[in-house]
Amino acid sequence: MASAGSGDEKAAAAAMITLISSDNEKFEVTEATATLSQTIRHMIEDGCTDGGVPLPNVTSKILARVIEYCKKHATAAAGEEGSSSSFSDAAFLEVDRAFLEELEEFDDAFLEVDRATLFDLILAANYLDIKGLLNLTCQKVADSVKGKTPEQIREMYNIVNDLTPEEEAEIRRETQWAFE
Amino acid sequence: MAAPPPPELVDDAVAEILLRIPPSDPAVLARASAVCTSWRRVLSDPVFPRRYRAFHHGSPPPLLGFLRSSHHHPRKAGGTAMFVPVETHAPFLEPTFRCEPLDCRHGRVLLDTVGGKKGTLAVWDPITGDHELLPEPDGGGPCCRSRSGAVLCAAAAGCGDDNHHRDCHGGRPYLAVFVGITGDRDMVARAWVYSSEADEWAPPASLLIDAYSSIERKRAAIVGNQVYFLLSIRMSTRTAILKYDLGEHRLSAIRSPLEYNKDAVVLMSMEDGSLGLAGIIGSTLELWSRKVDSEGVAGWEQYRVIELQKLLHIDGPYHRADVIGFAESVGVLLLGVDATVFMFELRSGQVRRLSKPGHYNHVFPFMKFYVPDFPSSKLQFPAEAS
Repeated sequence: MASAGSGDEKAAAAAMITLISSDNEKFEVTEATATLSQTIRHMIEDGCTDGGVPLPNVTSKILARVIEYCKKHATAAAGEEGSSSSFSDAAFLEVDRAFLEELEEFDDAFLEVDRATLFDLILAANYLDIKGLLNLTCQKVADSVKGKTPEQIREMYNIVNDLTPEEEAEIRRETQWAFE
Repeated sequence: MAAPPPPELVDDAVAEILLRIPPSDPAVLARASAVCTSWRRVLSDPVFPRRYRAFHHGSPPPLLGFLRSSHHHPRKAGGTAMFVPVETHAPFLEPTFRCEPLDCRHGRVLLDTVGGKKGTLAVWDPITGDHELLPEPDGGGPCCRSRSGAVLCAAAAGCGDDNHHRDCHGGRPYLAVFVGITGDRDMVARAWVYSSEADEWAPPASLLIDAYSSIERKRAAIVGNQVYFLLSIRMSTRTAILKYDLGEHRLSAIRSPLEYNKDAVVLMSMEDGSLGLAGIIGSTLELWSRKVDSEGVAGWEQYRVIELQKLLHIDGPYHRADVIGFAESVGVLLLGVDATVFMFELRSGQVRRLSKPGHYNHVFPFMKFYVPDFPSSKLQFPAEAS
């Protein structure tokens, strides 16, 4: 589980980056996979990746999922670059379409996680600045709170209510129309 | 064990979630503000509303609800609710004075307050309850028995990055157009324009009308510089259209494409910049667009016919369908059948039945990107510890 990137077509030529999770597990990934994270991209550009990139905010369990996502989407990005010059070719478009569908299926399956993991993925995507992953995971949460009361939302995502009873009463008074 | 993530990331992540809450149901953001201090802090951030609107820049402001006009008499304060939300909850305030809606556009509502204690016309913000009473135009216009009006944002470049006035907050600057018909034998239509910046009405434009007509209190269609009002010809089933050109300050009249009952027709501003009209005959909805041909002559062109009986699953011949409103930027026609309102999305052909039943004469759609605003909050949330 700790090694990654071996399936990459450009593996021979690709530079490898080591990512180190908060629990000190090492993940080796291609630069193409790692640079889906803007945070890591900047570190590479600044030449700060020798000896591995420590990610003290991301556990190995979450990092493995994040890498899974990045590998899939890095392949997609590479595919897009490859076919951009031949857009007139119907066969290529067909391949693109099939690939996009596959990617959508991957994303749907990727979101089949428990709510704690979903929140961890959001935090990791935010910290690592991975736009696609952040969008995917945040949209899932945003869609899930429709029609829910604050209590239900807290319960769903294990959020501690740190509002004082007075504060909560004040908020409810201000937005009374939403609770009627 | 992993160290807990820095708290400022939590707020960032919360903002990313809250930005993605669909704007069609404003109660979701309001309830989210009562989840915990972090969610509340993100939503109270003064930059959040702008970020939210920017995030949803790809779609027009959603249809949050509509104002209904009562049939004949001005509504008394505290009477039937004027606002009907599309979702279950909406942040609308009811006016506390006697009034009838004449128009609703760009976050503002033009109210006819004749007969009440508030003069003759008011521009009202249904979210804050703020309102301005307009001075009376010369010639006693608003007291004409047959009258209507329109209110529009006067910001030359629009509010926001497109024509949808997504950043319009109500308030100033705005223009109000008021039209009225007076006279018995020689009927004269007049149009006055009020500018909030000048705080005065311009002298009216007028037009002699040959038929005995009245102005329907339905929402005007605004296409470019032209404001169109529906006229009904009395003692007949015919309707016509009164056109007021804001740029030229000129009134003219246009024929309707067919003889629709005045309750079964609305004017529409079309995406292609033309005037549209939706009318129902029997159970058939007909859509028209006013086009200018190669010789420069304007005429009506029927572009779509929709069988409502099938679309709305109306059984039996005794149900009358009326077209009671049109929400332009989202392209939704509001149809009333008995005590049910249907939202008919023109582009997708999808129909949605509103859960709240009621008989509606005519409705004024309210479209806005609503983000709860907590300026009155006395709660001081400490900044995150670093």
